[in-house]
Amino acid sequence: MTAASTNDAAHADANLKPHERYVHGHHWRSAADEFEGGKFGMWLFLSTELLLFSGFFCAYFVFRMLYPENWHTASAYYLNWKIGFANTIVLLLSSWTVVMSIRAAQLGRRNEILAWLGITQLCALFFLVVKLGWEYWPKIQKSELPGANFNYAPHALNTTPADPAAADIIASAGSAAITPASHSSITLIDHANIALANHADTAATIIPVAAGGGDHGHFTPGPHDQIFLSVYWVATATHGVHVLVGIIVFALAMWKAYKFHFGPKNYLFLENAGLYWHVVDIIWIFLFPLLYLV
Amino acid sequence: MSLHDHDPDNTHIAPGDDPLTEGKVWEDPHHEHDHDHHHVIPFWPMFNTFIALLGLTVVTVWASGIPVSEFWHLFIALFIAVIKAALVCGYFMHLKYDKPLNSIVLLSSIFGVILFIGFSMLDLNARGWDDHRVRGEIHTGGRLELRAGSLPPFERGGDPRPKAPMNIVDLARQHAEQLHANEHAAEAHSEHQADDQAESHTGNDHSNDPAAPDQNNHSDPAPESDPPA
Repeated sequence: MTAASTNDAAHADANLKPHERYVHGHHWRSAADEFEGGKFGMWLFLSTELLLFSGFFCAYFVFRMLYPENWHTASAYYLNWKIGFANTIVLLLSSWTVVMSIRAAQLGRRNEILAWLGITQLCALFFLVVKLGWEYWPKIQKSELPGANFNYAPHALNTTPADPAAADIIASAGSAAITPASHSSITLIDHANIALANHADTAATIIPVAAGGGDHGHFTPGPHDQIFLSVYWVATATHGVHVLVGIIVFALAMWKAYKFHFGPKNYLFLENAGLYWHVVDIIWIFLFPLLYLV
Repeated sequence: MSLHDHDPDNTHIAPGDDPLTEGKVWEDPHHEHDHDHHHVIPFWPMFNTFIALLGLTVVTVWASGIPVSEFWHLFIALFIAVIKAALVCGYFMHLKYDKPLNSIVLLSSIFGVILFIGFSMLDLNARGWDDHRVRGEIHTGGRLELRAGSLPPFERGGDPRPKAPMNIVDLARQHAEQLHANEHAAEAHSEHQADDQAESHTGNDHSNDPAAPDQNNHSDPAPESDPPA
């Protein structure tokens, strides 16, 4: 095969950079076809990503419609929109820098690729550090966790009830909840709320001293916060894993750029990494207002 | 294998020369069959898109504070998010410059998302059967006695089953409004009570509380254990 020998000759030329030695796969008609085909495959994958996250959005809307009474207040109570805002800005910036790194690849400027990808990596790391350090870790400490681990007794017990009877009610509810005989699906706060609801005049005297992560400390916790927090945890954690994967992918891309693998004709890996990153960005564009703002 | 004999990149074969490509447009017309010059992403449209995305983020934060109903907050937030997503797709993911195939993939995926969420919403809004309220919560899943078949089954032309006055979503909304009103009343009451205590130390008087929400006085603490009648 003449083509094969041409390939071998090109590969053998050590003076050429990897991207200059590059030849498209023999099963492709041309490099352009290979590029378009690879990109199309990425789009197919990304369409499944959208469907994956649409499940979380579906859960969000269903539970929001079923439990509207404290959905908004739970958002304001547990989440600080400023943290979400900072992360949004950082993700948008990183999306733009990815675009610029692809532009640098198209122009054949290897150092610029590395610089833009470096900024992208810093943004992604900033996002994860803020997420883990300023949101997840305080929430874990306060047991604001999904599922059976959800328990915000510390909030309820660290309150300053004007009515001493309220403290007794909460304490008795708490002891009821931690007895093994109690129903597993009923959490401590359910007990506290049932108890307080039966003495409704004391319910209003519960003032949380240590407000949640949010800046609207005057909202009190409610019985359906658990559902809000479950949606929050699952959706943002899945998104966070995608950010983590993006960091790994961009580390690989930086290595390839460092080794001169990206040229004007050959930057499919970078292109697909960028497409992936933009979808991560789009998911966050929807998560931020829905979880933090409205 | 005449395709690969001379040029692995197929660069020098004009469409007319190759029987396989004759009459077909394989390349983007902007490329003019020259693989050395991919479409280079322009700087300013991308930068402007970035600035627009930042601006829309500020707008969506601002809009979350304007005094409108929850529905409009949701609507505005989603509207702005859709615009932002469209900007990212069109410019950053350069669908605007691509062949339409990738856009078709995206749109079919969005169609799936709309089916998924839309039908869930339709279903939820159509559930008018259950006005069951236990422990101040909405008890979904239909009436237990209906499930057990103790009532006559659905008949075409006439529906013997009792309808709740509204679907569970409206019920939940009404419940939320009621709770909200109760909270305000209880706040005012507790302030009043605190004043009383500061003056006379009379202690707790639970007897005449206007703010006590009556639906919370349900006596059954474990509704899950209800036997199906």
